[in-house]
Amino acid sequence: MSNLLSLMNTGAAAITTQNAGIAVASDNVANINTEGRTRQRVDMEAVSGLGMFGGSVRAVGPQRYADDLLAGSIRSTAGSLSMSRAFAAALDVPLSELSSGKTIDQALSDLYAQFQSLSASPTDTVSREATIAAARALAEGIQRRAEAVDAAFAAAQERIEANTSDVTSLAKQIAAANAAVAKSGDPVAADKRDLAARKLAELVGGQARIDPDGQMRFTLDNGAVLVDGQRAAKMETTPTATGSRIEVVDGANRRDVTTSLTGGKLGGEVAARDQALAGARAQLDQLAFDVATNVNAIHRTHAALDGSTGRDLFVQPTAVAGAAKALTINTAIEDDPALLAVGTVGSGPGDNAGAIAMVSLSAQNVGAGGRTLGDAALDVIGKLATASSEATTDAETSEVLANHLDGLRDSISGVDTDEELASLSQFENVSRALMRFVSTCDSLLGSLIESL
Amino acid sequence: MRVTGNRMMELAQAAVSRNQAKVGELAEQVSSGKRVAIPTDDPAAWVQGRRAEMRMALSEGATKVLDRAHDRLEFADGMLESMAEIVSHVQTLAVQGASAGYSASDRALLGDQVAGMLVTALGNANGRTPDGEYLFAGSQSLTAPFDAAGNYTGDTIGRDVPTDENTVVGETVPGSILTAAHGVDILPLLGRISTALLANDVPGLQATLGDLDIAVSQLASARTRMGVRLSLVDETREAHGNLTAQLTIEQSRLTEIDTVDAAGKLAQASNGLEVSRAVSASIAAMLKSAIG
Repeated sequence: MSNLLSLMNTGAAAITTQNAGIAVASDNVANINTEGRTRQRVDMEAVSGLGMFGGSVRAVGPQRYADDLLAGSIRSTAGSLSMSRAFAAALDVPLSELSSGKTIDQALSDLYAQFQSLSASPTDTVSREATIAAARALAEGIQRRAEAVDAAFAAAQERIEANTSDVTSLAKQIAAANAAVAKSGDPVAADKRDLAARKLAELVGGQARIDPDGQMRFTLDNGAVLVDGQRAAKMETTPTATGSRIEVVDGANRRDVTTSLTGGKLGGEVAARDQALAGARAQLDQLAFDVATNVNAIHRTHAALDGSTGRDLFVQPTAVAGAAKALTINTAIEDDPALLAVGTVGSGPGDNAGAIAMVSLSAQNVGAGGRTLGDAALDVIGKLATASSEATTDAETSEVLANHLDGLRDSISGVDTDEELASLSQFENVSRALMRFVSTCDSLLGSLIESL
Repeated sequence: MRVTGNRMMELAQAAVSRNQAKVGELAEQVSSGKRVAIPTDDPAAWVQGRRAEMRMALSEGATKVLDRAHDRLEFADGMLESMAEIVSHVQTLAVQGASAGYSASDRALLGDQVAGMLVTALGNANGRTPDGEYLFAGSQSLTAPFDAAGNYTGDTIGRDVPTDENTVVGETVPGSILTAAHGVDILPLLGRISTALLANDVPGLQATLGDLDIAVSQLASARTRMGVRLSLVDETREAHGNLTAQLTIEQSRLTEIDTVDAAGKLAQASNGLEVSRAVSASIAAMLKSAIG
């Protein structure tokens, strides 16, 4: 009788084990659309009984179908992909502002064309007014573009600040998940930790590794530690004269990571802000300064209709920095077109040497980098467009890789309804057989009791 | 490789999105005719296209300036032609007046005639363009260059206009071509002839005949110079017309699409989109039937 009771225990334990399998399969299906979900499974392990009989089975797990090496590659690719996308996106609006409407190169071209036209009728008031209007349009065009670049710079700055607080929040989530994994080995906590690490990599690049103690450590590319086991550092921004500094703060320690953020959305925003947009701003300032300086140099040495000389056409910027936003034309000339100076000093009002000199300025390499002013204007857009286009190509490449890696992850960790339904059916059949077994034992036991 | 149902659906949806984006991009290119609509489409081509546009603007500007220079030179040449006719006529009258068969009253009549011609010649020499500038005034173009006696008060600065960044062509000829600097003072010469005829001063009249020969060849020479300039202006204008056409082709090559090629690609992409949609629908149906 004692053997029959033992057999019933075996059957009951086996049913419990199969139920665990049913529960995990159901859980897999229930979470099929949960972001970051990793497929789980229950392993069966035989349990020895007393003597030759009475053994049973027990559930081991649930185990996660996960590949840490693959997860690392996915995080790394996600960091590169978000960096490229963020960089290209940060340049979209300023590029559109720089290249829409009458662009700076076109406004410059118009100014040369007006001087060309004025050279044929230097005393004509209408032509003089048109030339002044072209100069004003050029100054306003440069000013408007400089403001657009500044606005994009400020927007990137705001996004950087928002992203740094997200970094702090994700680092805390990883540390909390580390604590949960250490406490109970909870696979859901491990899923959440992987997901948070992927999101963090999307923000800052960097690397995460699982140490032998099962804890995740997340470091940035320059070695700054964001998460060390259950300890999370913060990320903060500190305003500077040129934008802001990004620091990893761990207690009293602060580490500047601004220039070493080489991945993630934050890396893309910083590169867009500190390289592309700061570069465009510097180029616009240099262009404005060069336009004013060279046009003024010609204008100053030529004579107005009344013979007077020595005036600037543009208000001469005092320094390169800030020249683009400050570029305006001389109001005295704007008010009196006769003061536009295109004649040789000492000659009559019909002389046009200054206008010819302005036209030949169009071919002179007086702009930044030994280029013409027109080419320097085109270079502002060309550089931004090239950087954006390269980032888009990089993003496309990373996207292909990311898709491939996602496929690999799916092949290991993805939940498939067909498989889970098959598992459910398998566990259900085994459970049904076990119930029949228990029922048989029960009736045998009943018969035995009745016969006593 | 193990592929889950979700993954199959994701891949199918991604393919639909990708093909949709491709069709959208190609449809925009075909409808706008532009391959490079924004700088990021092809930064190098965009910059080169804009550079061509800048050169085109300068070339078109040059064409306008040359049109104006052509009109001005033609106008000035008309004035010189008229003056040449006057001088030639005066020469005939002076030769007649210098002959012994003419009486004092005949000479006085001729003198009046020459005086009238001087007024006409003076009017020509002080001719103005439609925008009010004196044609032969040099750089003093807002002041009449010849006084009532025909003396030149302008300067010797002719106006050039730029045809490109480094080249200029002459647009005006200063009135000094009608002065002793280039032969004789033509208008005062007409005045002297008129005075001599009116005063019946035959020796004085005979003394002007040599100067009249010089004046005739001086004007012929001035007109030749004018003709050379006109021809240079016309040649340059034609060259700019060709350059503008070339630049237009260059810009089009850089930034516009080959319509036939793009239409073919659009048809291909549309087919791709239809196929990917069909695949997506069939995967969805397959997954649904598996669950059922």
